[in-house]
Amino acid sequence: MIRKFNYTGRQKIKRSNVKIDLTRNGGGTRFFNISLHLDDLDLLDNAHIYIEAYHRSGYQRFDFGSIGEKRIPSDRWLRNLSNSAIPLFRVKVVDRTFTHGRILASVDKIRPQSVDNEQTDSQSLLFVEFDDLGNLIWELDIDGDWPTLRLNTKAEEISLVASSDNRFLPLVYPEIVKQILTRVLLKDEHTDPDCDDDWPSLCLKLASTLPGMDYPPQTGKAEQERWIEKAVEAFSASYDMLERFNKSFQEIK
Amino acid sequence: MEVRRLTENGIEEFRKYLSKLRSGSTADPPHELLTDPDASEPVPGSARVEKLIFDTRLDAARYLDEDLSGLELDSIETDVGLWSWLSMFYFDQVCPRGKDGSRKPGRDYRHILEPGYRNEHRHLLAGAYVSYSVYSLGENLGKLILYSPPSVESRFYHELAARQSLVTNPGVMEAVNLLYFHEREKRPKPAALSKKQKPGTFFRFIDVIQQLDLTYDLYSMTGEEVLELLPSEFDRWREY
Repeated sequence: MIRKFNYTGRQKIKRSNVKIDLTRNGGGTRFFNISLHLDDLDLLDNAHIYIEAYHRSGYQRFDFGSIGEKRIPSDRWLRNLSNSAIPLFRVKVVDRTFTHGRILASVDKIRPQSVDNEQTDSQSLLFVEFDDLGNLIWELDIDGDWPTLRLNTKAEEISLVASSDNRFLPLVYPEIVKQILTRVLLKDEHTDPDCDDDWPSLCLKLASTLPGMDYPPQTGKAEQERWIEKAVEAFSASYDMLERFNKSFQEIK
Repeated sequence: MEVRRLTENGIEEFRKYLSKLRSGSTADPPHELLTDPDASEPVPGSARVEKLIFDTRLDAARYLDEDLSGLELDSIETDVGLWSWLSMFYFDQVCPRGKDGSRKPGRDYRHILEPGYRNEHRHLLAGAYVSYSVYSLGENLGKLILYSPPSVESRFYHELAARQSLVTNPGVMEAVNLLYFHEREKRPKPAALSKKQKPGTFFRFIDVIQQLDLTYDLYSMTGEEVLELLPSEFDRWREY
């Protein structure tokens, strides 16, 4: 079993204490606003605050002054990131008293709560992105920072289809659940839903709380495979996948 | 020649050609795709490329960095058609003929860009360009990971480019160059890629840096400061 232990003494910044809104200018360049509360942590006044934005090959870092003297930089344009990307954010509080800056507190993989004034589901376990996927309609990317359903920009009405088509949802989403749980449990051997708030733990937690489900087995490949199958079935039942699928054909008739 | 981008048809034809090569064909690249209006189209802005010979991926990246600056695209690095066109244009360099006349193209994503975390960085030209320009590694920090010929993805590149937090970190990239790049010989130090757990080798560096990254703000450090944090097993690599 893989569990993560924090031996570093680093404090954890609550996700709920970081809120990010993403906007853009007329030319399309992204800009972010942030609301950050660190008052519940025990941090040095002279510790520095950094906000980092990243998406695939893009990365940008912003200096927000110190705990005692916060300074919001006026230039918060995300010039190094693609305009079409919705980046993730990382907050670090760093003690720079010594040559080698030590991280005192951090939180990673923060998703903006709004993009272009539209609320996003910042707690979602599955992000959605649009790309040129050649001849594929969709694919699941679980090699990046957060599970992402990638949809082909060239597929007709794909945004609408993926969000509301009663054929797409039953055919695709159970497979996504299966792929994610297989990756977490069998490949990465991560079995603890309560370990942290990174996506593998959150996905296990979600699956464990579906009707009829319990925590995943810590060992035994066959037992874990059965648990995954049961979770996919419970997920499909919870979201009435069969009924949705059948109903979609009745609508056609 | 004026830079263009391959259309869906052009990319499909390119894929077919790559597939034929994998089946043993020795056919010449379908260079007509570069100008055929069904297979390629103009790109916003203006850029011209020449058939130069690049000794290394660094040379190619330097040239493309300067040459593509006239294009008016939101995100050059993810334009599938553009990078596929450039791969076709420079195909003799990204997929040269062997002594027996055959070509070994490898996976499609080495020539036809596949956006996404998994394979985006593995396009031979786009990967070099992104390292040089987007990550701002430039001449000095890009010399280790881009030392190989345009047709070869080095192990240094493979391991570092797949880890965004490392390849975008100037201090870490300076440190890895100081440790494993031989300045006088302009190439990586021999044995730097020895077995994974051998003390002080490149693979150990990756493991150790990832651990240090949890505790220290490596991004604010210089290469020398990063090296100071490393255990003594790395000392000998600095000294030769």
